[in-house]
Amino acid sequence: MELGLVGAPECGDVMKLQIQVNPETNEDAKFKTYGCGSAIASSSLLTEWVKGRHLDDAEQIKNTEIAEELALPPVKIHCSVLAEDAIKAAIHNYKSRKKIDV
Amino acid sequence: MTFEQPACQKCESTLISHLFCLSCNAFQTVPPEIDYFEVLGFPVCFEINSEDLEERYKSLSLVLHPDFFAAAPEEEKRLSEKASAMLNTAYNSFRGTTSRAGYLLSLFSKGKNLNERTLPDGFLQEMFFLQESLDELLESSDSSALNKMNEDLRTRHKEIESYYAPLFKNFKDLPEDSDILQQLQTHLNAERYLRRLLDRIPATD
Repeated sequence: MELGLVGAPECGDVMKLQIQVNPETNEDAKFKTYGCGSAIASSSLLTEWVKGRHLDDAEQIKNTEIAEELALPPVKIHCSVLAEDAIKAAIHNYKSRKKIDV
Repeated sequence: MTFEQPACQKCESTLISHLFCLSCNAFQTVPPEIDYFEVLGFPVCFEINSEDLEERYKSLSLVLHPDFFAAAPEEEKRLSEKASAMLNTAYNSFRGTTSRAGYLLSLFSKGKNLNERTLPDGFLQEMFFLQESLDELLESSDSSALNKMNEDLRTRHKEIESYYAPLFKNFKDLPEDSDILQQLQTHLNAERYLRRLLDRIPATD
């Protein structure tokens, strides 16, 4: 399990994303988010999208795609940024740990 | 940023608020980038006495409010609505310590490359942990433990709000000092996460 913990200073929301990587594919993803409905929806959609995807592919997910899919209003765009940050952080942690391990 | 005492565009008396002349009751033509200090007629400064703020707000409301322009020409009605809206926004922003500090930061950070997401080391991990602990407390209905957490968080929140004033002390240097502005940004960010936690705790009778 690899963790990505991120926060949105705009509103104080925090999101923890866990991904199960094997060997370079996200086999599973789970989230726990303390925040508004838009932040929770963004995290939930993100976990659906990253499941079964290659890491390099999952890393390319953009917050704008999440915002568009959920039709987030402009004041809630930062919630989708939180989700993008979370997957990037988790993958970054995984990759840097791998390099240390190998 | 200097504080210039402006003159009325009609009678040339010294203005308090840039919006309206209290001597000849004339609305002033103001640029769209007018700041809250100009609206309320205070020098640009962090420390604003709350009684002075209340008094200024009341005295300006008493002359600007749209109710007093019900029979006035359309143009004056419009100006009164616009000025009252600006007054309310400025007043609400200055009432809270954090929102006032945040407003000053927004004035001074223009054109500076501040990192808007900085937090103290380990802060985010701690906030997530506290959110989870709060989940447990809210579920357990252990009111004494919940009260304890509430008190601890409030103390922390007050502590953060006490960090602003010393940073504003050397006010003349502030607009140039990116390091101080960055420290301020960090405290303001931390404040938001703490407020988020506090918002989840139900009010007790």
